[in-house]
This record gives sequence, structure tokens and C-alpha cells, in this order.
Amino acid sequence: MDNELSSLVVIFTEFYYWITVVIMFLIHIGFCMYEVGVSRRKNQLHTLMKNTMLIPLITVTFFLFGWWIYFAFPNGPFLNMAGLQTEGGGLVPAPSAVPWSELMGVHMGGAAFQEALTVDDTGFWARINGVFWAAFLLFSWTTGSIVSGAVIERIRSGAFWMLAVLLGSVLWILDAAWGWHWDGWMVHKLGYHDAYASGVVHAIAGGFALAILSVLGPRIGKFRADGTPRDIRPHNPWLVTIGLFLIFTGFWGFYAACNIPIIDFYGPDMLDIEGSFFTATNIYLSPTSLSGITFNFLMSLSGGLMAGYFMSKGDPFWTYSGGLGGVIAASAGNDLYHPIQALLIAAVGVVFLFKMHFWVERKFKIDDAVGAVAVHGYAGFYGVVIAGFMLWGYPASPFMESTINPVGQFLGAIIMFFVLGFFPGLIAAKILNGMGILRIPKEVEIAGLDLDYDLEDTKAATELNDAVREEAQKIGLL
Amino acid sequence: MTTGVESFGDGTLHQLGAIYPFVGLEGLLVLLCTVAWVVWHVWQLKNEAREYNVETQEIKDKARLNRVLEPDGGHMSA
Repeated sequence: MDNELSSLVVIFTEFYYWITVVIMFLIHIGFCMYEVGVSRRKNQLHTLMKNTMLIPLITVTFFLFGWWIYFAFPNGPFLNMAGLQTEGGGLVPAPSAVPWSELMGVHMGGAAFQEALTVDDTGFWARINGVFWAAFLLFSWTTGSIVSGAVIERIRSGAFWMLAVLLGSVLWILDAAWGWHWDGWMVHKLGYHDAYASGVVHAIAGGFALAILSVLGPRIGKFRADGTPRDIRPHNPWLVTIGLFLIFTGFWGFYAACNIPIIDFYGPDMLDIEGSFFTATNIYLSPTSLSGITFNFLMSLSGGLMAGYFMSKGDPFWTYSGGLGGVIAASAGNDLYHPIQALLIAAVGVVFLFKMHFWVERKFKIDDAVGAVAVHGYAGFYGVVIAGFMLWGYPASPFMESTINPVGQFLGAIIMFFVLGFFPGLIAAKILNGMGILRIPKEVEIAGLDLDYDLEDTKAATELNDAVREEAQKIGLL
Repeated sequence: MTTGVESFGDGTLHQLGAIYPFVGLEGLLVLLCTVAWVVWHVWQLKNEAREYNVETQEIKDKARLNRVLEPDGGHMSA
């Protein structure tokens, strides 16, 4: 912050991320509307609260330990194992991300306050820490919201919120440290590439949701005696569709937040070679452009909408879900694809997720109320794998010799969906189920989760009517 | 007397670090926040268990149950 150009770059970056966070907030408005619209009337207020309250709980825990995990764990599961680690192994010091750091608050970037941080680092993180934290935090909320929709109408909120913290403030950010970090071990060893989070946000959340659903079981009445599924229709299609439109809108912010908006690619903090080249980069610090990803976002959205409409024969729910699934399917490589490649990858991904959803539903009796496992999990898995073929041989990062490849991407998809998503979710859900706190009592499920609100409504209306009746009697109307 | 910064006008802004009040007590704040978070989860589990016990009794009201089981699936307005 000691000359006009560096100050402008830092303050522009600060403002850029701040804007992305505001736009991404629409994702959560959309998720709330969507879930409430899908749930039956007897459950709608509890459904709203279940999703809303994951916001503060993940926020608090992401402040306490989630942000630190991202910077501390890029060495991954090979901690202290000589020869396999990056950066010498072990935990990476993260002085600006521990919750008691002075940089986790309003800070003017004065002299370095810890030996581990240079004066320049202190000045940079003083401006960027909060907005960068918030951008990642909004991704955390998204992982929680993805699971929230799948499990509506029968999970206990208390159990769900603990699961949401586990996913949003531990598991996803751990996978980000491994595979969505310029120095993550998956990038080094596997050549993992996932620019707009097909795997690191969507596949992990889908895998986690699938595990919980397998323990939680279907809603009462979902399956007939012969095992075929009944259709539990959304009680308000307008909330569902507008909610999904808002999620699309928020997704713009998500894409922008995945980029670093301006950096001197040849500068001393980057390749340190002669000359200057200012560009946007992805999270791996590889060059891309906001212009290029805008092409790809809209083309993959279009491919997904068309495929969703085609596969469902015009069903609004699956058409909108197809749009979302299409973007997710192309996201891993949307920093580099041609727009028509993005469109085709999205369309094929939506055919895949649509088929998978109904096959898994029939085969395993999985009641995914909003198709979240399909739209996020299967599409995310597919997106990571297909990027391995499409971007075969591209550098995984400008600082490494590793290249993007199909085997690395396939292993990466397995790590995201199963290792960090499905299996931890399964263990956590089984523990909560064993404690008897995962699923609501059958009586409450039949009566509806909003029974308490309904009783309060009745009590309040009765009391008010009595008062009005008394007044009417006083003035002789009755 | 100040809980933090005494002046923004003496030309030393570039030397300032954290400017929130009570710098140095961050560890205590983190401890309080952690305790509040854990207590919140415990309270929620107890609260919803009590709520479900009450509701399990209330559902035995046949008139209400019939309303819930109507084809529109609910008793509340959209």
C-alpha cells in the first residue's frame, strides 16, 4: 500500500470480493425459497429455519477454525511423511487465519505484528482477509444448503446443523486446501484441476447428502409397497422456480469469487520474469479471463436447461435443475473450455445426472427431495472426470510440473465424492442415528413439523377473537 | 481514556495495526465464542427433544390429524 498502483490493485481486489459475496448471498435466498416451495405446507416454516440457521452456525465455526484449515492443510493426508509432502510437510503456519489473529478484524496493515508475516503480507491481508474469508464462507453455506434440500421433512434440525458444520467448516474446506489451493497436494501429485468447484463444492456435498439419506431413510409414503416411488409434489412451484433463478444469479458471483481478479503474472510475487502481464487467474494462479468464463457460464447454463427440458419433457422442476446441473458439470474446466464445449459437456452431464437420479431412487430407495445428489453430486463428479480428458496435458499450476490428466481427475473425483463426502457423512449420520437424534418422531412427521407454530396460531387467533367478541358485546353488536 | 485508537489525524495511519477496541483480548473472545457455539448445539438438542415430546401428544387430536391428511397436505396457508 505504499504506491498508487499496488494500493489500487489491493483495494480493487478487496472491493471485487466484497461484491461477489453480496451477489452470492442470492444463492441462499434462492435455496430458502426453493426448499420452502418443495416442502409440504405442514413443514414449510421448519424447513425455512433449518436452512436459515446453518448460516450463522457455519459462519461462527468458519471463523473459529474453517479459515485456518484452508491455509494449514495443503499438505493433506501425507502430513510429516517424508518424501510425499509439499513445502516440507506438516501443518503450514497460518498466522493471518487463526481466529485470534489481529488480521481477523479491522486492521490498517501497519508494521508486521508477527515474525511469520512480512510487512507486505500484513498490508495485503489487512485488506483482503475478511472479504476472501467471506467468499470461501459463502461456498461453505452452499455445501450446507445442498444437503439441506435433500433431507427436508424428516431430519431433526439439531442433527442437521451439526452435520452442516462438519461439512461446511471442516470437510469442504479441507478438500479446498488439498485440491483448490495453488499449493495443494492434489494439484502437485494428481494434477487436479477444478476451477469453479465441480468437485470441491458440489461433488463433496452430493456425496455427503447421499450418505445421510441412506441412513435417514425416505419420507413416510414416498415408496409404494412394491418399491416404486410416489411423486411428492412441490406445494408452491413459483417459489421453487424463482428460488432456482436466484441460485443461477448467485452463481455469477460464485464464478467471479473463484477468480483472482488482477495480478501481474510476470511480477515478483508470481513468475518473477522480465516484463509485466496483468490478468485474472483462477485459484491455482493460472491465467483466465472474466470475459471467457462469462461465455462458458451462460453456454453451460443453456446446455443444461435444454438437456433438462428435453429429458423431463418440459417439467419445470427438472428444467431448472438441469440448468444448475449443467453449469456444475462444466465448472471444473470452465476457465479454459470453448463455449460450445461448455454447452455440450453441460448437456451430456445433465442427461447423466437425470438418469442416475431415477436409477438410484428406484434401486436403493433413496428419497432425495430436491435431486441435490444428482444435480450437485453426480454432475460434479462427472465434471471433474471430463475435465481430465478435455484439458489433458495443461499445466495444473504455473508453479508446478504436474499436468491435468484423466487418472488424476478420476482419483480427485473419488476423493471429493467418497473419501471426503460420502464416508464422513455416513459415519456422522450413523452416530447421530445411534443416539436417536437424527430423525424426527413418526407422529411429528405425520402431523407436520410446523405443528408448534400451528398451535400457537390457533391459540393467538382464539384469544384475539375472544377480545373482539367481548368488545362487540360491549357496543351492542352481539 | 480510550479503548483503542486515540487519533486518526496525526499522520501515523500507515503505522497502525488493529483498530478495534481492546486489542490483545482476542484469545478471550475466541474462547467465549467457542463456548457459545457448543452451548447453542446442546440447547437446541434439548429444546427440540422437549418440543417433539409435546407434539407427539398433540397429534392424538383426531380433528387435527384429519386436517393434515387432506389432499393438500397441510393446515397452514402458503
